[in-house]
Amino acid sequence: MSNMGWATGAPLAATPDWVDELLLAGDDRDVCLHFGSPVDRAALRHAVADREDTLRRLGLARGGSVALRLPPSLAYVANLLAAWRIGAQVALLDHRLTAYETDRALDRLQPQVVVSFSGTLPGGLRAFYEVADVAEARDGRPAETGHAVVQLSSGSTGPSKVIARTAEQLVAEIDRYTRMDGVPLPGERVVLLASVVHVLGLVGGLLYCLHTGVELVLPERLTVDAILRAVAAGDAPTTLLGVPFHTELLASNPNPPKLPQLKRMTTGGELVRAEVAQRFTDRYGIVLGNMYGMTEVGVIATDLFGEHRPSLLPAPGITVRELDGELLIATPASPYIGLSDPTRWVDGWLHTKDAGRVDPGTGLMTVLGRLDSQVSVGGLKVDLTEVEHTLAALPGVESAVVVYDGGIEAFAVVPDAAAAAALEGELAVRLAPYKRPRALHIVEQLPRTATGKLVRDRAVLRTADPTAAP
Amino acid sequence: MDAPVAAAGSLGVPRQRAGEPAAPDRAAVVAMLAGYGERSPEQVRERIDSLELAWLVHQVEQRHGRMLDLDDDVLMRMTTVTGAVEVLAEVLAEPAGD
Repeated sequence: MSNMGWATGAPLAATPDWVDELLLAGDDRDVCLHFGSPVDRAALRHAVADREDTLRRLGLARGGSVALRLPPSLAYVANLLAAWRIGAQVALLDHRLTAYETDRALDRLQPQVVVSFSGTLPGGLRAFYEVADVAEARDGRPAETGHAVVQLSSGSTGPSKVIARTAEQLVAEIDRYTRMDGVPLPGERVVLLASVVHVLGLVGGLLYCLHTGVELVLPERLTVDAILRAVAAGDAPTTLLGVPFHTELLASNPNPPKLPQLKRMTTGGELVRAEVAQRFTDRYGIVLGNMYGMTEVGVIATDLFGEHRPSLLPAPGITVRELDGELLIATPASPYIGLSDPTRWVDGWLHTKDAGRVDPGTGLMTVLGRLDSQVSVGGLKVDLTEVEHTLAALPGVESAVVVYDGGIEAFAVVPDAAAAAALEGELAVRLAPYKRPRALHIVEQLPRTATGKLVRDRAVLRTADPTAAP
Repeated sequence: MDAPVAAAGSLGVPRQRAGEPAAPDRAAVVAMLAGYGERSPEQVRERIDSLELAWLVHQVEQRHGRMLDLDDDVLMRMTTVTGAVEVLAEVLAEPAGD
């Protein structure tokens, strides 16, 4: 019963040895990471052992639980691997969450140890940070399931979903990458532009690179100049891994330097717009690949040679089908802890909430957009309903509508001027920066349908606020 | 390196070097931001997120043909269109750092 753990969520037979065997093994002097300066395997193992010692002294043991609230940093990598080496379950909290959101997440997850950072982070286009990590024990609970990692999604109704994956599932995803053509090869380099805290950068970047012997490089900043300097800093064939924004940013450079080592760029998330893809490939003369995945599963389908655009080929071992216009992924167990929602997972099938189709002849799948209110802000998933509910719950707000039109935009009825003036500040307490409306329109009333439902059409909403941009 | 051709602008008037365009005014900043995602200027919001900031910095660097050495405090002030216009006027008035 090898998938006993998947089916029941019970502790797994797998030992924490997978961290040493699949991620940390290798020659002492082999440079595996580059976070501002090169980190070889000996230094990484040392950093991991150091954190493991700290976590064990705080009482963390196999089957225990720890939350990491760290920005992309060597400290994050070391704590993550240390906790997995102990056999603990790791909850990953985005460092951009507000204190309010973090507290709610900790209430929900009840970890026994929280690793955070001291001081404030420097702002401004950083791909990684130098932070002093601080681990603290708290009155939490051991892990209730055998999952190795849990992450919170932006929730559409009430609390966010807890998405969980086992070590076996992470290992299976690493294995999927190794079985695909067009991924970086041992001895090559990846310059990672996506966050190492989220699934694309975490598994497709960090774990795959550590496993395969690909050097993972984070640029000093997420500017064109710094990204291209990071590519130029090594001779080995180099892949850029990011989200469509990064392609658009790089494609806006009319005369990029000649970089013979730059082999490919691969993006996850939504599709790069066709004209941007064309501009990018014209200017850089390299392949632009595309991947589709979810936090729940990891990589699902790829087009790493840009030959099927906009379609993708399911990754090895992944089964996709189409039901009533929605893409479903075969998954042996629900990836959600404490959720039995048949609209999300039922009878071995994960509902992606992505509209799409699967070509029965070629097996190629095409993603056609969201079926719910989730949007992508720079590769981060935000559910507009979460933003709308948060806004509507603030003091003085009578009703609110949140829409997306190149950015998150909110319309709210707030009769009291003082309450209206306080809204932005209140939202900043409750929502991470990437979830906040970029424009907040205070209107006298919101347009409604004849049956009284709020209208979400941007053109109609605009009429409610004459000052809103057309 | 070109020398400044105008006196230092102590009253908010930016200095300008020969051959280099003036620091972008509000309309120019909005137009550059609109280039991301091929939006209309009207679709650009006052608040600038980190992706737009990376985009804006790159567009200014392209236009002025030099790298901007923006420290974290300066970048933190560029989170609105108004702030970005102010900061760009200041940093483009300084001699190029390279």
